[in-house]
Amino acid sequence: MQPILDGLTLSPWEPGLFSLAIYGLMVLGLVSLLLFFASWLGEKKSNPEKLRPYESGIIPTGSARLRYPVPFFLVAIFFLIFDVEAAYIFSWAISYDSLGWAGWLQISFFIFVLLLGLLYIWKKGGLEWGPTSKQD
Amino acid sequence: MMNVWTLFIPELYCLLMAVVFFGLAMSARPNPRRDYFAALFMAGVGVVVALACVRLEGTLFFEAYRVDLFSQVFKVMLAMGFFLVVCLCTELNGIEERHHPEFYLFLTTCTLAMMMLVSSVELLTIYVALELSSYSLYILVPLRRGHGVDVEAGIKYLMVGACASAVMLFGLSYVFGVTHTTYLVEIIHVLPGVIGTPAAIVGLLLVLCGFFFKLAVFPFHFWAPDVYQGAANQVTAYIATASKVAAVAIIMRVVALSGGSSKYLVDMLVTLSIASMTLGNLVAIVQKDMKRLLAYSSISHAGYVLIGILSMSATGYASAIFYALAYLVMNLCCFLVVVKVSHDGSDLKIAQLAGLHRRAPLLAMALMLAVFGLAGIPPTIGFTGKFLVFAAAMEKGYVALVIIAMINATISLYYYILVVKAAYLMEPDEELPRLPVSIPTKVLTVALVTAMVVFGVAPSYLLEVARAAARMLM
Amino acid sequence: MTVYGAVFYILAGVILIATGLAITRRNLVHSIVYLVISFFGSAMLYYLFGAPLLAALEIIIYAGAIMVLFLFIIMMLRVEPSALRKPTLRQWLPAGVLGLIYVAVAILVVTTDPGSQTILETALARPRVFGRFLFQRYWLSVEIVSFLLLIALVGALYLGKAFVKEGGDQKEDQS
Repeated sequence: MQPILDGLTLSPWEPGLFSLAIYGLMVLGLVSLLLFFASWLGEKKSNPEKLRPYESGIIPTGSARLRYPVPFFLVAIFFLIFDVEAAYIFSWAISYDSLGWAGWLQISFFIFVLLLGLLYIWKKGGLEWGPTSKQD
Repeated sequence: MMNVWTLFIPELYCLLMAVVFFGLAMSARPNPRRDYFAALFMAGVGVVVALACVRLEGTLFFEAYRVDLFSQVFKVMLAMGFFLVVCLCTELNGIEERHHPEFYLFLTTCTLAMMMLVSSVELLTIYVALELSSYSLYILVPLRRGHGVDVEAGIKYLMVGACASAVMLFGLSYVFGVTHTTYLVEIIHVLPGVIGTPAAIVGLLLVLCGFFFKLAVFPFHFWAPDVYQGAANQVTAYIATASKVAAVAIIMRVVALSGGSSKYLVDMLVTLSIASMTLGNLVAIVQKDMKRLLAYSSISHAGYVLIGILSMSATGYASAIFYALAYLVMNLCCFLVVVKVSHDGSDLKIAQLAGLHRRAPLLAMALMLAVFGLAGIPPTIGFTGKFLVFAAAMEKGYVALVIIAMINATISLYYYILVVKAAYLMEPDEELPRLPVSIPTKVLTVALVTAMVVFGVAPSYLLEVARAAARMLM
Repeated sequence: MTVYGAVFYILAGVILIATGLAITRRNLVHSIVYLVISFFGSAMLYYLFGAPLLAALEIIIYAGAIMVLFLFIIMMLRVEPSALRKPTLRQWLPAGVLGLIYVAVAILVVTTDPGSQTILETALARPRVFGRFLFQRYWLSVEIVSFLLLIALVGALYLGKAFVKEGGDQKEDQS
């Protein structure tokens, strides 16, 4: 068995990759340090008033677990779909110069199809927010 | 460059159709007649286009896409399936009027995806094409008017489908790991050499699972009865015919990768085939709903098709192709009757067929022939298909398998005859009016019936085509 | 064991534990937090294997968008933790047995494969090269994906709207 070395796809691995990991570890260390100091040095007396959720000075009523309206959820799905689209566009964008016009045409078609999708949900009221969507 | 695009014409045409329906979906006012005639016309032209392109050959897109007789024959079948399903949509009462363009849009994208599926010879392309066709179907199922069962059916379909594609992706990763390539052309050279290793065989089986889901083979059949019943009649007709044909094609492509030298794979396929046949046939006996009955019958037919495929010889593949075509025609004929008899778009109970021979003699006759075809009674195309499949298995010496399949065919005769009995011998409780059967419907019925009988008696031409197509696989 | 190997095993352990916790927590929101940790772990793993673009996408799409969607579904369905029944023995026993078989098969696959002893050379797929590869070799797939996303958009809108009309009683959605 041989590693899949295509020449076209893979270049030798280099430890420079670790820079991000080290950076991440530093951030993690700093944040945990700060949190630790905050809980260690801070005052630990609590009473019901302190534990109550802060809602701009108004005393909260009812449960915090409200059912979310559906439009939020729809927007989350649309966001997800366009996020996946963005992933492909990233892949194109980082190598746009070597892909040339063929690549440009490919990604244009890709974006065009997704634009059609956006147009569709716009026209059909998927982006409607608030009272208008209830009349429908 | 022009040459390359000619090879892609059937797909491009489907793409054009999708764009048209997308445009219709954007228009504000629903207009079912316009949508129907647009669909009918374009689907009809689609069949002609697919037929015209049947002799094309070549590869495109960095060898990821192969146009050969095998793929083109299946494209013709898909285009025909699509056209015939559209023919059934004269009264599309199962779906809200304003969603008709979307309905056609999803049917078109599904057909497009399956056309690409049968031509893809690269694992990633196969996977995305399969997903595109599945997604279209996931949405077509809950598109039915009125909620309740269909929502459950839609969710079930989606869940089982998602699991199947996850399993399949896992298998793809094994296959890729073993062979270091995603191109079937290269895999077919590497894989037979390493087929003895567990990774290769597990990978191949897991990949097959994804396609078995589409074909509703035994461990992945759970969705079939509920989805068949829950989806609108026309959608069920499509799922039962065109999508099955595409699944048969791709399973053949994948099984052909093994080079026919793996005993494990054959054993596994034999087990699945027997399980599907037996389970489908036994459970079908107790069904009261026509579409559920057809669902279980489709599970058992998946088993019969597998017999042809697991023979892994040119005759075997040719018989499976022929069987797929036969199944397409017979099933469409059944669904034609289902759609016409329950023209308000509701589910059809078998008991509701009572008195059909007086209400619509032509439909009753078509139903009888189609059902006899499914049972495998001569002189229908179903008999020829079964005969070819069994002959291919005998050639390889799978005698026990053929005997079990024959016993199964006998069991299936029982419930098929129940359907015929309902249509011919039972009288309805109250007198029902004659069913209006329009001239185009009559023409369509006669055409389907003629096809069933003529190709049953004289299958040689189709068989030649199937043989030539199967040779492309070897 | 090299540093490379050590990091791999640490990450693999983190992913396993986080995923295990994610599927056993009673509180769905906690599960999601663990799942996010697991995704971050996978992203690091991809990074280690020399696929930085994949690592970034794993975080952007999985830990970002999909988890947000999960959170929205949980908030929308508002399932109380007490309403979730513990799976009975009959439910988890088959799953457990199948899982064990699966582990056995996987061990078999790894140990018996002749290639499993080879030490592969580490390699790196640079994002630029990856992008070029994707759009030159697999562009048909990319275009099919665009259709897939279009269908998903249209379908999500239709199902979501049906959900509004139904009052959101019983339905979940796809992603």
